[in-house]
Amino acid sequence: MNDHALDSYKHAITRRHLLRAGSTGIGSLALHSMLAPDALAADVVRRSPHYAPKAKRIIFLFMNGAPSQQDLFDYKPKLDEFHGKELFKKYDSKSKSWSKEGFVEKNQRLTGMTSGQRSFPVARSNWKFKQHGEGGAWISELLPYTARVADDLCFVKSMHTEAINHDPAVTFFQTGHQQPGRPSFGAWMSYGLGNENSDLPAFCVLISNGTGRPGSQPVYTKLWSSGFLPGVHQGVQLRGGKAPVLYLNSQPGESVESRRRMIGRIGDLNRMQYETFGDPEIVTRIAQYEMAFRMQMSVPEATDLSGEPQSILDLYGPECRVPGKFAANALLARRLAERGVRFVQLYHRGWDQHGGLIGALPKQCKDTDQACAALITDLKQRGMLEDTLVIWGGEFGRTTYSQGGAGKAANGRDHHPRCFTYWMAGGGIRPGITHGQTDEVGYNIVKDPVHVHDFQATAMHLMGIDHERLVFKYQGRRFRLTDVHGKVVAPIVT
Amino acid sequence: MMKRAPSICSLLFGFALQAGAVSFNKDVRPILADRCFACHGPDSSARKAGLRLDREEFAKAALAGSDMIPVVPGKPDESGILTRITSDDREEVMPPPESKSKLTTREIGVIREWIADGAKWERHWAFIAPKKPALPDAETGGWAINWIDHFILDRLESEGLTPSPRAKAEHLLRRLTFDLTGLPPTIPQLDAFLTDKGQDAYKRVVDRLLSSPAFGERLALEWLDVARYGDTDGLFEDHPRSIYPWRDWVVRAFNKNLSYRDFISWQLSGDLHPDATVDQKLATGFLRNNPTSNEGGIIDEDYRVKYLMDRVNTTATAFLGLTMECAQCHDHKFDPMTQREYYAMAGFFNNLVGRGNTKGATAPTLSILPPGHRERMTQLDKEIMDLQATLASTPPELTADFQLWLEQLEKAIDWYSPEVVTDSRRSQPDVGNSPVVPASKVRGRYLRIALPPGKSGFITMSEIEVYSEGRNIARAGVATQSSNFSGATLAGKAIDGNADGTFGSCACTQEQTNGWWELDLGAEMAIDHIVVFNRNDCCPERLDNVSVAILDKARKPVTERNTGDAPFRSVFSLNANAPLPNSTQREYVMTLAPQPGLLAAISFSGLRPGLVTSVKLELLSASGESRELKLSGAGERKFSK
Repeated sequence: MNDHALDSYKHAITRRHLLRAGSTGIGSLALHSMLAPDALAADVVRRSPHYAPKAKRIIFLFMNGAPSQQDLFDYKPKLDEFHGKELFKKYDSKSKSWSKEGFVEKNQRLTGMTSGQRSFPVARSNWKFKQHGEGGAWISELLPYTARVADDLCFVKSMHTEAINHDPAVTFFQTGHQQPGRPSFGAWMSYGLGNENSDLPAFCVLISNGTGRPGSQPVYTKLWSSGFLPGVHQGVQLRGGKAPVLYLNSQPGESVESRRRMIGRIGDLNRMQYETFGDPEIVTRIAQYEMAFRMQMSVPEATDLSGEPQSILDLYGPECRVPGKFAANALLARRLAERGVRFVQLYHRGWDQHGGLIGALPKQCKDTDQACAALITDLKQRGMLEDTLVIWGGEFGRTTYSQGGAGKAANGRDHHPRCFTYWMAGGGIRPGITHGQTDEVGYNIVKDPVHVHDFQATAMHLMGIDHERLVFKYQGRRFRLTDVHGKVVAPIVT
Repeated sequence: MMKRAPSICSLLFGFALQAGAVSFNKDVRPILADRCFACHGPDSSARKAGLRLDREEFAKAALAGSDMIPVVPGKPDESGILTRITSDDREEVMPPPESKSKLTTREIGVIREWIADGAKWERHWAFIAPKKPALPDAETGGWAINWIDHFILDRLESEGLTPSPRAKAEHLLRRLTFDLTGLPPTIPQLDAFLTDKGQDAYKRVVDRLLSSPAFGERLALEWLDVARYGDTDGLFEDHPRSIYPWRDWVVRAFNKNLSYRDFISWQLSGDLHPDATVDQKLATGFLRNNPTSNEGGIIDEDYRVKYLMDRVNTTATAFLGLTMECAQCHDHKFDPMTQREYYAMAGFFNNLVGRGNTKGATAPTLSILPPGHRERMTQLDKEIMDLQATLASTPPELTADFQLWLEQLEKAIDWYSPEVVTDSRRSQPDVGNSPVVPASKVRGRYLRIALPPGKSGFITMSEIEVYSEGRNIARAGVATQSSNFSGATLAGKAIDGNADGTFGSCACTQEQTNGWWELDLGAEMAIDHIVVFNRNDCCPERLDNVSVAILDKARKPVTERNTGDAPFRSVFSLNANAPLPNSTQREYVMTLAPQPGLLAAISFSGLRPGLVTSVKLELLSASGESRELKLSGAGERKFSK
């Protein structure tokens, strides 16, 4: 499929040279019709899955900053017993052996924030855990709403990543590479599957700020970039407030008709330009002008919650009426999914609890818990959960040891790439199960590790895409979201 | 900061094929690179069946232990590779089905045609030096204005075409102005050109455009892309950076028509030229344009190496015309480059100064000042120094007033003297009574701490102790330093008795070359030991390899030591016989008993008498029960009694 697209792309460019030179050996009339923008636009944009998909769309609830798995899902009762004791075994270089005291061999890099710490005391969780649902999933008391939908969720407790700091780790999750520049997950899905709604972008981004750690790490527009894919696949951020998309509205006094005429004429000029130069980015530009015009109508319609019944507003909680809050974004995500948006990427900031964990984590959970559960319930009651893949998780986990050493135990945790918990639901995911397992102190994975690329491969698989076949050739190499790695995690797929 | 280099090679791809002759570099190599080289290319560790198709001598020779010859020139049907790529057998066909890579019919056709044509090999296109071809002898009849026109006309003739009519003057000017400045011509410029009937009108316009500042800006744009220029850091919070003087240098380089040789050599090594000018140093901004991060937890070395790789990759793309980064992790899969060669190249850039985490430390930096500003800064520095000198001495009238106030103060308060219950000082050896040891032979007046010559950095120290005959005499001296990081890090902070290692306890200079800190003991003294306390909450490496020297009263060096990999506490013993007194590290606890009529017992603990780090207060009830109150989190306070 893709090779065909690549070949036609190359030929288009080649023919452009023939056209410009005014020379021919091939019938120039036929050529001309093949170059009609719509024909090429279809090649740049519209694709189809490799096999029958189980999910048609993804809603990715990204918890930016990395939530603490020990305090939310990965229940470790032994931490109470070990609380305050040194986590790491000591290495004796003479006998080349590790001490009996301690629980974990310290053989990995730590971030610059705790690597200088003298002591690494185990920190217990401050919160109680209970088992929920028929699947018996352990969930912290901080997430009472999520607990009620536990049987719809699949918990992956053995996620791991390679990056230990926010920027590279989030970039890795979203683009498959720690250094910026590659296309985002949503852009790949838009490229691979096309757009189901001609009035809205295939890839939308919604951002909310957490109350647990205001002003923490930013999220960056590079995270929804189309990288080297055609620009049409770039994510579009919808903001809270009166103008969800900046610079979309007409100027004051400008009528819809005159706007329409202007877009039409710019389109004519761009088509002339395209016929001369054949650059597919011109097709993108024409499509984006048209899309922006249609979005003048479709975005206000999609973001207007006034038609939502009271029962739905109650389900998501009071904050769903406050634009820009997580609950409002979750409800908006469902509305966008209903309208055929392929990939809705939410970011909720503020999960980076290096200190003040006991005060901040409950706030982060309160921001998100009810709306996450509401989204599952709402999709389910509309029959949409079965073909919508919902994903919850951050860029890495947090340490079992306390950041800040003894004395402040259990009130701060540093970044931890070696294990963390994700949950997924709907869209071909086996509900009510837990996959993977960590050791008794929740520091290392002991069973069924799931790497970021495995996670990406699995999500793509559910969307009907073979992650090894969705490739784009750039700088002489075929690039994939999963680089040269990734295995579909079969046990979590129905 | 994304790189987007157009692949000229693939743009021209189909063209040559249509034109008839199959070119190895344009048509065949891209297919082999894409489909075959991953297993049969330059990467020796990934090579299968000992077959390599990237080199002619191997591709055209029989495979070891077999009589199969992969490529037999002129005989496609006898060529092993053609048999394999056209096979219907899943076990035979190449590339193997599990690779999910498949040759298209067109690609197979290209390879067949190439072999049939004699399988002519070419060097990798990136390594073929361009050659100036001879002019085709087309009959131009005066049509050709410059030598490019000869090639155009030759090609037109072979296609049976005649040249288009000459462009109108308006079009010509518009194209020319866009080409050379990136801007359209103005109406007056157009009018001037249309009315200029002189013979050299066109030439004059070209000269005008070439001498306009916009010409350099236009050409700089593309170079800035190649050099991944950005006005922000690119990573994490994407902070602004001030490297625009380098951008302006590029514009100037084009406008001044700097030779390409200098353009390259200044950018890669301008600072290494003898007597390098500011512009030559500035040009090396090319190597410092890379994205950087100041995220809190990143590991310095990790990111320093990332920046190094970025410099290698950018240099290869910009000057060699090929992307080298694949060879960072393994031999290149389709270009003739080994991992070893990659790291050999990395060696050229591995000596650059600069840290991985650029927070507060983007060194080395060069301040580029407008004319006159440097002189003004020197003048202002001098004014500041003069004004500071006036602060060092106290006017006599104030001294007298202060004495008077002190006397009144001491008279006015009748201090209550509590009974001391425990006093850990008493368990310490009394240094004054220790056996007499010979005085140190090292005598000096000044203690000077200095950065290694030429190195730029900070000097940050929590405390300096100088022991002479059992006493720390540092605190009686006068400390100065080359510059102050801030008003809270003056030189005196290193002799204030607080050695706890936090930045708040430190003397710290600005980041500079030739930075120093100095202590004047007032007269030459016999010095037994010097103890240097480093900062311990961050960046202890700043004190690495710093010189610690004793100078005599004529400022001649008496002895010099070095902090090496500076620990928290470095001890330099100059008199081996003298015991090293317990210094600031010792914890000291004193408890005062409750007195009749008082409700509280108070314990102090701290680093030494006079420096209290915590206070414990016990409340007594009437019945004699006690309750402990902790005072914490307030930081350190000094109590005079």
